[in-house]
Amino acid sequence: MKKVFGVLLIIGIFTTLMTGISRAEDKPQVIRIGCTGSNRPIPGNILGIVNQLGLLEQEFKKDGIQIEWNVFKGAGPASNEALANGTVDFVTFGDFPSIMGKAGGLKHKAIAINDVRRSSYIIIQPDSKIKSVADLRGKKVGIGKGGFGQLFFSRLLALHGVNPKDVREVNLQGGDSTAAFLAKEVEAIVTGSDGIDLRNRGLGKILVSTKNSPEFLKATAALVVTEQFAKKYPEVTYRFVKTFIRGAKIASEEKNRGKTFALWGKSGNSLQSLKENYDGIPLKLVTNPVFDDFTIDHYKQSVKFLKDNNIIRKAYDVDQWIDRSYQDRALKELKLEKFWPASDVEGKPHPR
Amino acid sequence: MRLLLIQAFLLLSLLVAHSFALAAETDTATDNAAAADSTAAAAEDPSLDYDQIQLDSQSSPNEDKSVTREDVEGLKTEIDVLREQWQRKLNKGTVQSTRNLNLSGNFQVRYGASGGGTGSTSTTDGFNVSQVQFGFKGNLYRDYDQGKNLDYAVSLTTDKTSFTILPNDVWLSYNILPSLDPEKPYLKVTAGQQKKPFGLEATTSDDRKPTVVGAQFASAMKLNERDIGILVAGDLFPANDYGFKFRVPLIEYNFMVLNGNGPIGSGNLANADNNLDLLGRIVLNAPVEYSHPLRGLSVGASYYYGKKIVSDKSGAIIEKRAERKRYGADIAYVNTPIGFTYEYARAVDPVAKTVNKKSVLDDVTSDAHTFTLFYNFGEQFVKGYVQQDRYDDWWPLSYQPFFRFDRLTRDTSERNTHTDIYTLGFNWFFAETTKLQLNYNRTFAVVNKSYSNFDDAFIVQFQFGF
Repeated sequence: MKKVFGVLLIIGIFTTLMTGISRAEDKPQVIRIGCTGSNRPIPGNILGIVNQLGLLEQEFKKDGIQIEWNVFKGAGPASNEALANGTVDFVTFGDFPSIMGKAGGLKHKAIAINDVRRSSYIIIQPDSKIKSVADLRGKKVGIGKGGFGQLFFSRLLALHGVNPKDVREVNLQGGDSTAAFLAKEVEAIVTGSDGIDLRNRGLGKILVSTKNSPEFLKATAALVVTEQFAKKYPEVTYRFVKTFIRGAKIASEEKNRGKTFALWGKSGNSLQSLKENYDGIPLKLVTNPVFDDFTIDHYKQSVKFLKDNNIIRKAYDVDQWIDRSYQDRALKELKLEKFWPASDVEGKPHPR
Repeated sequence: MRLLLIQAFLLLSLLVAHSFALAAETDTATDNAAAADSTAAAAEDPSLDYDQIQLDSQSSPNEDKSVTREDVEGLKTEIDVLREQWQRKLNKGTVQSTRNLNLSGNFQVRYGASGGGTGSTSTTDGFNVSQVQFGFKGNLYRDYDQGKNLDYAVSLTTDKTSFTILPNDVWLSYNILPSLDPEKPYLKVTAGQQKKPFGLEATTSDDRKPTVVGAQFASAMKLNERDIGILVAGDLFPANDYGFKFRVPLIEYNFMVLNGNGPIGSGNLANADNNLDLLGRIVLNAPVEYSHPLRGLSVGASYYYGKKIVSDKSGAIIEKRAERKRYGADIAYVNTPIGFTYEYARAVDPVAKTVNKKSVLDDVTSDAHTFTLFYNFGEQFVKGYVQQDRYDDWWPLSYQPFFRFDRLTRDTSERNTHTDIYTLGFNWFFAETTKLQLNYNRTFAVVNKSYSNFDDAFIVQFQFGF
């Protein structure tokens, strides 16, 4: 009797779970979002505003759809891993990890831009004698491989004719990078706007800021949806994108600059670094969710660069990857078709 | 902690100082910077501005108002009070360590029920606490430059019968080659009491094994017990997929010199037989990208050579350096959602045999086959997904139905005589570090091709840790 009970229990639990999982519905019970961050509100980009304003929760509340936020300490690689294992539906991540994952066979579509023209920095020791990118030859540089910095740094070295093999890259993730820099274990680090804080505290000097560099050196991040989810729930996907664009509109208003920075600052960036990072840059250029010639070409050139340098094994068709249908419909419905400027392949903006 | 306190103080100070600048800046942040000045007016949709969004108190953007000197003084006072409280708490009630320390524990509580069998069963009816284990792990030196870290581990476990506390892992390891560059080979040396790198079953920790009861051969051939020695472990020709932070070396190798007498506390405080044993293992992995279907495929081979003292029933030593050997081969495909492992092990052990009333040296060969097929679905096997920061507590779920076939032939000279255990099981992983295991075991003792008896048992086990 006991053995019959045992076997039945095991089979019963398994069958129940499988039945529940395979049940088809016209709407999901939960929308699972993946993004990069630490134990704080998610970082300063459009999704960060959408998250902190609770826009998605409001949009889907009436349908009883829950919003699940997954904030990955492991950044882009963790997002790719989650996508590969089907544990997220929407993800925002930087250009480098998104290209690596897509080139590796992940099935997702880019449906909006989450962050564009984000500046990167190379910080050197306060007493460093390094004067130029060329001087990094033979020096130890801390870089979080697999993250946004890898693409930026690779392209920067290529731009200055420096062979990456001549630089001693040390793979340091997150806080380890700053810790190693402060311990003077590395002579330079590749970082985001956190680098401004190091300089302001007298702990480092800025060797390179891409703020005034060629536009292609700046980082771009996309919002992607899994092909499976988009195919199964096209209307939910559309409403997600529409809500995302509402958040972008709010974040893009210059009159909201202070409030936007205050919200972004909750992710851990100091207000001063945010202010300096975006000083003189119209918010409409950095919180523009719309694919234009500049962002599309950025991804095309990045894919080409990574393929030419054997960092990815095979290239993919960026035009096929981007699906503008959701954002085009949302822009039309929200009457925002001409709200954001379009930029040409050089990054020069012009009215739509 | 003190550093954190100082950092928090600096951060708050910066926040206050720059509130003035921000408040002023906010007013002057203008549209004149708008490059293209895409002035086509957006529709005046009321839902497209901060003012119209219903915010909770926590997510409300800061008001653009100036901060007074009194506000700053008040904040400073508050920080001072907080700092004193924090320091006091730190001094009085915080566990501290001179070095980096990670405390862990792993526990098992189970209920077993046997029934209907015709033979003796190893499963005792009723409740049991089958494992209590505490571990301390960390690094004694951290090399930010190359990752040539000096790490340590000390763990304690309970003996399953007497519940005596015994040392489990006691080792010190050093990365001889740099460990920060995933494109280069790694090499590490570990000295102390540790696991023996033989096959799959013996090297897998309890929290990762699908079954409640381990494969028969692991204990019968004494492969699952710790031993004391020095291990050199490394890899060659790594493939690295930066997009997933996934690294897989084509070749992994292990070479160990050990006492071969088992762990401290099992009556072996020293190398009683005065012989050192040797163990080698090599694994070939499919050097593929993360999303490749062959990810997780590996083939391994293990070899153990040792010597031991053989005594007869009276205790008289027959041979002081009798050879004992272990051979192993395994193949594994550990991917999601489906995977399998198969392992073959063979042991040759010296024994005393009586011939014409005289004890002579002989040997017994045993072998074993273990095959496990599993199906995983859920979140807990996705490393990056589990290692995320959340405000709420973490309740990831995973499910793992599995089937295992486990055969042990204790003496291959007795043809067609062996013990087979078929296990149908289901593991439910929840609450990040907890799993509920349901196993139904059906054990057949086969003698000369016919079933001499069988047992069956149903085991439920909670395994939890921190």
